[in-house]
Amino acid sequence: MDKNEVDVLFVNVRPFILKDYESKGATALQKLTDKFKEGDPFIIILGEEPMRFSEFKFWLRNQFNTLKRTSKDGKVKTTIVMRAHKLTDYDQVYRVLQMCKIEGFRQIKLRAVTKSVAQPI
Amino acid sequence: MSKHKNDEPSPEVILPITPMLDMAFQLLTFFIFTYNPSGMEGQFDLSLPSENEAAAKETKQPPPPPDPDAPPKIEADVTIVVEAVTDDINRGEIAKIHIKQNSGSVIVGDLKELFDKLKLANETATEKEVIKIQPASKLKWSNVIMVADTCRKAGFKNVSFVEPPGFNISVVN
Repeated sequence: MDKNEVDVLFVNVRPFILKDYESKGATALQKLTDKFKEGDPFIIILGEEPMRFSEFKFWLRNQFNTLKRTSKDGKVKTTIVMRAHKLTDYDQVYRVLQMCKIEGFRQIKLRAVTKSVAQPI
Repeated sequence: MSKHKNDEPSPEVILPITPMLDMAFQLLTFFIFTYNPSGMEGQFDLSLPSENEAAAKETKQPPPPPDPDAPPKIEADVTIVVEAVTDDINRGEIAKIHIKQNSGSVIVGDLKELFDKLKLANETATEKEVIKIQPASKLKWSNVIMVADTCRKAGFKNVSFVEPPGFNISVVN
């Protein structure tokens, strides 16, 4: 099986809510508050620093180019799984979807919490 | 060098079972109390054209130059337009839901009424599985998902999200 066929990229979209991050420690909190204001939408990807939308766009482009270069047949088969926070505005979610489409990712899935209380990402 | 013969029996190994069990139960209790399960997630597949379909269309006739800004064309009989509350207290909540069909448009007050109307619409629709949702820009994602979920429960399995009214595509580029 081609590795890229099962490749999944989790993209978390959420607004910055200070009280969700108060338990993260002073240094991490300071870093976040330097970058984001209350309510600012941002992207979280595992292993990466929280990104603004503009940063995410370039990160996504680099990611797509890397995947294309390393793919055997030159096609990117990575699926983007988008997890948006319940308080995110629809236009922010749509913006991320459009970014993924423009950068070349074709397979996108949307995840949402079906039960229980949503956890802060 | 003389050989030393040890006739003494080797010391007996005693396993301290009680404190080990005690520790094991303490660890178990700790993990039970600190376990914080994440919410269960459902998944929507988006209606993007597959690469094979796109390639098949290209071989039939030369397509016009693609416009990356243009929203994808989705054939659906029913479109749900969701308006959002704009005041500061309930910002992002559902204000009104319009069900748009070829026969006309109706406004519903809540999700229960939406479900009932969609059930009826699903019986008459030619595209029984496809539905479009056009949420307002500032509608909260949780409300979008609730509307999408209602559509799925009413029989529309293929839910597509379309551009919010007044969306500025230049913010993406």
